[in-house]
Amino acid sequence: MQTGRNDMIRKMNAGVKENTRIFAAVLILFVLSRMLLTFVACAYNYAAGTYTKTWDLLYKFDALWYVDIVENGYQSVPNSVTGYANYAFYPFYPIVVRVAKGLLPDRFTTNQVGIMVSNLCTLIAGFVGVKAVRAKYSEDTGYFMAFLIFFAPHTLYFSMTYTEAMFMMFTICFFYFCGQRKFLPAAIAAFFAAFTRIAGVFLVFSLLLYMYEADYGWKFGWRNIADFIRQIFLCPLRLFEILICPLGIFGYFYYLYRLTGDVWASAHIQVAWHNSYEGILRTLFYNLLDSGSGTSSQYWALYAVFGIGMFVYLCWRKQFAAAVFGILAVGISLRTDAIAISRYIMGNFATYIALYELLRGRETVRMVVMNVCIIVSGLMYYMWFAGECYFIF
Amino acid sequence: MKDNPVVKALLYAVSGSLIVFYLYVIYLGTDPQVSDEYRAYYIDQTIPEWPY
Repeated sequence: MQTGRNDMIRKMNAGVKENTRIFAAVLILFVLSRMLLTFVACAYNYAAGTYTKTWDLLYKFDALWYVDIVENGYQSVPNSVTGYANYAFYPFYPIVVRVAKGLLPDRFTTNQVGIMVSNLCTLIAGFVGVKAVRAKYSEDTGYFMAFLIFFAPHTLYFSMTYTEAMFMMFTICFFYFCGQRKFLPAAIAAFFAAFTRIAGVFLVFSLLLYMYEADYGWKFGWRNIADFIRQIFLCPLRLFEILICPLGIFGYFYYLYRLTGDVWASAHIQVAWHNSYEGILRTLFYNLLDSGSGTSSQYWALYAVFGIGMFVYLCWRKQFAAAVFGILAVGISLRTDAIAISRYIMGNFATYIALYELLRGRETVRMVVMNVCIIVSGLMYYMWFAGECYFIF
Repeated sequence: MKDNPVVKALLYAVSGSLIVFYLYVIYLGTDPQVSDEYRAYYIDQTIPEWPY
């Protein structure tokens, strides 16, 4: 009895030690990535002859909307001139920023608190990302995953008042718990992901696939599928796990009905921002050939092709749950337009799983990718600060 | 824990409530309570610009 307890304590201590070691290494990578950001901010200020603070340089585009939601709440009618409305942006991130702002001293602005929340989420995402890799490949250190999350192109959004970092954190937690076959915490992570961004709702399909794989492997057949569905209804915990995923988003839809009279107001308001191409292939075709926004449209379309390629690669590696999430989350945006698709692709953990798998065991290519990531990320920071960032928007 | 009949009954009750809530929200979505201008611009897309 005593020996068993000692063994348990020894195991727990070893686990804490290992987690501390992983966290310390991830923290170093994270600090290095933010040093790059700050260095580029200094370089920009030097070149422009300005003295703008880093958090003010990051405060652009959607960050203004989130700050508005945190400070003033949601508006019930669209803007009378532009037709825009802030309820296009989902609520969980502004809720957390608002709570954090209430807990912090008044000297911090809403944007600064948003930046703190996003950076904290990014750090947690990096840590859980490494844990997820180690759980799958015990021989890997997994730090390359954290590197990608901190340095890959378009990850600049993880350092500002945008929802990307929080969404990434919940998505990584979802895949981590699913990998451990702990479906209740995974479902809770999916609930928060969907409450943060609409794309999170698609995690419910990944959850179903993980559950199916846990029971039957990847052996698809009518009997297995029928038995799987029957088991969902016979096992109330499983039923609850599936149903809890979209609760946040449906709660927000109900709130929108009370606010505006339209359950789908957050989708309908998109009309004010851009027209829909009404189909993925049409979006790709017109953005590649008939680029309304100049080269940025072609860049987005090519990035979409890259993203789809990554998700197809995941299918080839039999990582169907991640592939389905990637395809659905990116596909829903591509159905209307390719605008900002690079942000959605690099804000989707499925892309990182694919990149990690693709570069695993290819040390030379990985080294090249790491160097390119640092250079391109630095350049993107500079362009963001300079305001010449339409194509990375 | 998950084989406990009380827990099972509770989970079924919560799951049932969630299904009813989702169906209710979808039902509300079929009948938006909005102005004519809103419907024309955002939903039916029969006018090209938001009338201000």
